[in-house]
Amino acid sequence: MLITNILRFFIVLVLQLLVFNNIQFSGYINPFFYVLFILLLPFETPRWLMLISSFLLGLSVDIFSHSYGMHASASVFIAFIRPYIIRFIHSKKDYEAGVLPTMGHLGFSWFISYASLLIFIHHFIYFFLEVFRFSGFPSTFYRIIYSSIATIIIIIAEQFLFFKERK
Amino acid sequence: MRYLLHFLWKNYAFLLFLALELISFILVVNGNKHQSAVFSSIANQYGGKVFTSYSNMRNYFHLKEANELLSQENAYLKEQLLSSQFATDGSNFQAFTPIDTTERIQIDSTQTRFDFISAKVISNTTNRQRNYIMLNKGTKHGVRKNMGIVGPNGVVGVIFETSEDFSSGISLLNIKQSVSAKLKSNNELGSLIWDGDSPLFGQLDAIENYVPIHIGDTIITSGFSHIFPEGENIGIVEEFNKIPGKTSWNIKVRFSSNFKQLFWVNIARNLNYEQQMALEAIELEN
Repeated sequence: MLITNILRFFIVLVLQLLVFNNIQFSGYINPFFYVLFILLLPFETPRWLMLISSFLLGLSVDIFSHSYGMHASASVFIAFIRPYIIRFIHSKKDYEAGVLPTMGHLGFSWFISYASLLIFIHHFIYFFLEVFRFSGFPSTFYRIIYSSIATIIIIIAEQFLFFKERK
Repeated sequence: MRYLLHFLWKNYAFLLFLALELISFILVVNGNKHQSAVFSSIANQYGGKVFTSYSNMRNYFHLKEANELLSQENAYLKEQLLSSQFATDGSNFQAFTPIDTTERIQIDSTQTRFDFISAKVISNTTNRQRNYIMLNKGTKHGVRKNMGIVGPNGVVGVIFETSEDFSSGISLLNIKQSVSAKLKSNNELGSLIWDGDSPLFGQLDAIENYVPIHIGDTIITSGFSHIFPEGENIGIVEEFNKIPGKTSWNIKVRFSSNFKQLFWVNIARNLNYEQQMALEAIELEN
């Protein structure tokens, strides 16, 4: 489990830097695929580990894309509110030991509401830190909406590709 | 004390969250100043290596566009060469009298002189508010901070960070970047900025209302910032209008460079940069 997550950390980082940072479609769509790592951390991950690992992931993305703390800030924020979001979205199945926050374990509708909420909050923080002002609100807002949708679609697609039904 | 420790322990997640957010915010705020930090220089060096191999692969798919751009630039350079030959012919003719030669040398030495280092773009973004360009030439090849980056069609950005083999430049598509520019027709000075919206258009600031401008006017570098040689293309006036209550035009500029298709660029090296900066520092002191 630990090794899977460490591997996932590096895989999402490399994919973000080499593939998703290079999607330059219309200037409004910048998917941040790397949040997948934060979404898929197991439920029983200690909070300090969740916060620190999200911070390190965000910071790594920052360093290689010259964005100085913006990804780190947004990532730490969603890592912090993740437990509250999980409590907020009820699941038909219990969050028992061994259950992972994936589509295969908790179903499509649970996963899509869970992922969309966190991704939207993450993108909201990132894009506002990037502009650092509230003027030009519509264009920032379109950026947030379109990029969130793109990230959600990519992450859902990833979940379908590596779909693992719980035994 | 015990209660305090207990309280801290109970809320450690929140406190850790606050601490990490604080670090991030400090980075966000300080990063705006484009300060060269040790870690970003290391990231420059290692990131550069990864991005080089990646861009080699990517360039393969864009060979056709790159070829077209290069042949266009070639044609332009040939044209330049022809016109400069005429100029040298003329000066050779004048050089028969010794007084003229000394004069010519004097003029030469007072002019800002630039040479160009050709570099390959290994990483480039256009979709953020702060876009950067990474190039495959570094201090080893003579690249320094504050050198201009000129693409095949015009100005592209300014170098702000270098490592041994690589350098990073701030693109013109960066809300924190401005370039000293002027109108080609009447030499009126302004400054070119980007509002973060479309990668095709920038804004030209500080041109007063009484200055006549026309749609299609060419905007070039002023050469006053010692970063670019004078007269490099920046763009053309797309539209302009008056803002009520302001004395300067609101000018929309169509960039002459296509930022989405940059493969090869030239780094403009000002050979007198140190001297000019030293002089300006003295001016500021007085």
